[in-house]
Amino acid sequence: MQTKITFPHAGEYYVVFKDLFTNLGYEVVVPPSTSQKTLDIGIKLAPAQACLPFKITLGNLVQGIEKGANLVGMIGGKTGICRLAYYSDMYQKILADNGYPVELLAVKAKKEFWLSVKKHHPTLTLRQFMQTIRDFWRKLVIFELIREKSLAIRPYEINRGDSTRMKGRFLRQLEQTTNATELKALKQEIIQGFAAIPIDKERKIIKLGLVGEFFLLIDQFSTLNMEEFLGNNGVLLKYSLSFSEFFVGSLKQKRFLDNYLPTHNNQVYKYAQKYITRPIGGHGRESVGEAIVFKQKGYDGVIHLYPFSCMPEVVASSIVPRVSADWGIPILSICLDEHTGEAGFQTRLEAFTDMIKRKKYPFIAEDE
Amino acid sequence: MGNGKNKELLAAKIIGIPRGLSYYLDNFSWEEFFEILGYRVEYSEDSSAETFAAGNQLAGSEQCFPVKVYYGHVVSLLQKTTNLFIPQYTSLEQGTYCCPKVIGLPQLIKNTIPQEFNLLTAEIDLGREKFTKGNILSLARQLTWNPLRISRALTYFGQNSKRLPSKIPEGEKFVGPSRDQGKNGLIGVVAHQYALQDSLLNMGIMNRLGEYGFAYVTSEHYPRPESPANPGYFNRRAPHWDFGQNILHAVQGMLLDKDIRGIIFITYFGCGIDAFLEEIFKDQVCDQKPYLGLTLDEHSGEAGLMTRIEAFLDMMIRKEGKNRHAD
Repeated sequence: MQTKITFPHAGEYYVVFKDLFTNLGYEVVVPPSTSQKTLDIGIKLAPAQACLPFKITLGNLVQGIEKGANLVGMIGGKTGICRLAYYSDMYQKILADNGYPVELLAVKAKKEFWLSVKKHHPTLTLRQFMQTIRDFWRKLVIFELIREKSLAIRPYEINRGDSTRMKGRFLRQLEQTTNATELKALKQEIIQGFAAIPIDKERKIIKLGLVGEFFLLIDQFSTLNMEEFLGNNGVLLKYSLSFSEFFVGSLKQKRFLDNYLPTHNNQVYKYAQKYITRPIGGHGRESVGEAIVFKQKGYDGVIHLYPFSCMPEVVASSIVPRVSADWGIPILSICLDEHTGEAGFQTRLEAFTDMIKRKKYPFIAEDE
Repeated sequence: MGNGKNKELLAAKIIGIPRGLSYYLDNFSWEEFFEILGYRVEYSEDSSAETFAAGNQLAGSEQCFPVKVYYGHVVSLLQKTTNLFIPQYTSLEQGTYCCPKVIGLPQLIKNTIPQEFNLLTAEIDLGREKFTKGNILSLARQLTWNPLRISRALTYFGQNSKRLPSKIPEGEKFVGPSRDQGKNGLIGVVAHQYALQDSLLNMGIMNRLGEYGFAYVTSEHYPRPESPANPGYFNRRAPHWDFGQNILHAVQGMLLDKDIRGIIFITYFGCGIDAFLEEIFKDQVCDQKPYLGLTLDEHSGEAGLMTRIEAFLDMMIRKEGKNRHAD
């Protein structure tokens, strides 16, 4: 039987994952973009107190399976402290109970991934596999470049929507690009493309860092398109986490380096040490540490996002006020769930950004 | 730090231990441990409505009910002493973890309570013996300079901090014909340890069962044998939480136990672990035995809760054909 694979959308990252699975020899079924319908399916099937990422990804999977998939690629492993480590088993149970019996494929930087792919495609050699992973990595890096550039340009753009359009264009291009030479050319094109957007360098903007739960930082649906809303309001955003970090974060070698060398994560852990001494699951410790690192880098404030009932982030969110007071960082902790209304959410964001703007540019009247 | 130079501590000689969450995980007495080191232990009082009210003001609004009550215990202890001991339980056996809130508990309390106090803590990972011993050693060194006391305390810890016994002692074995079945039957109550033992947290459900003529067995009476392969956990991979494994193991034991008529599962709003666990066992339990899942929080009204329990118990009595309460 031909294995057709589907996977959670995870924001726009599907572009990269689609490629990975295609190159590994799977037929790929990309689920429809995350929508209210996706969430409704998730809410219906998932336990009431499951976290928002679980509900959204479950909805994605069901929609993918309805389109004909019989294999589920799940990003993330079976290790860790938070509920993510048990996601795959919950998917399996819930999907089977509701008449979607599927297999699971854990996608992570570990040997198991290779072994399970090998089982599906016995002819695949390790060399080919490693090449695929390398290509995947290259694409991931380009993807994140596009994302970062659009975030950096958006608050300055003169014609609203330029960077969003540019981002969409490059993402489509990236989807079609396959070989390394083209990717290199694309990279140049991206840098030039974003540089060509007319900008107003004089604009008074503020810089905010985003910390918190991983899924909310990559998925624009669950944060109600916050990225664009804030960008258009003159906020330069920077994410503390990206998929590439998440992917290599599980490597033992990386963890070893972080413990002994002054890498970025080493800094984060050092700052977090006073507040959270050891990993508490998810990105609880990172949320606290990254907030301080953002402050050190000269950011004006930090937004901390977490889904309702996320265990590690609830601990972090309780500690965040103390961090805020100790280091003088304005931090806005926002808890999101399926009931979060767009207007209320945007009001809170606006109030927070306005407050920081007034503080940073005291004598300047609002220009709009 | 180290070698008993912590002057303030030495002056007070009293260490407070809040009675909540991790307190119920200790299967040996910290009191004796600290006595060997030359300190007196002061426990907080039983939880009451005031405990919760005090804790609720400090705890974050999204924390679960047991954590809020724990804050209350801390606040009441801080009136007596400024030395608090909060053990940092990270894992009770190899490859499993406690709930993230329990893991982060000492730092959570330290960084959210405005009052200054000495936090004594030691990371306890029973799966990693050497590591734990090292942490206990540095804890003991903070408290005294006397090497004899330190070594005695370490020996005490080493002998007593073992994980649950591999075999259930005869006396504690509940499976057997001789146990008390109550007037109407035996009910299994499944919950986290702290919920079973703290009557504020379980809202006196156990007493109510007795009043109604039911005897009960709690999930504590189903300690997990050490071999992880033993129970199938409903044919699922064992969850990586200690609490989760305990609960699944107990539910499974209760399902096989013919004496147990029905199962009550107590959980708290916002408990991430239980949200997933209930999904695993719920449909199988419902197929076999009467099941009542209760999600409690600080807003749970006593009357509403008791109505639900009474309805559940009445239903069970009727099912047995013994309609004693109808007349």
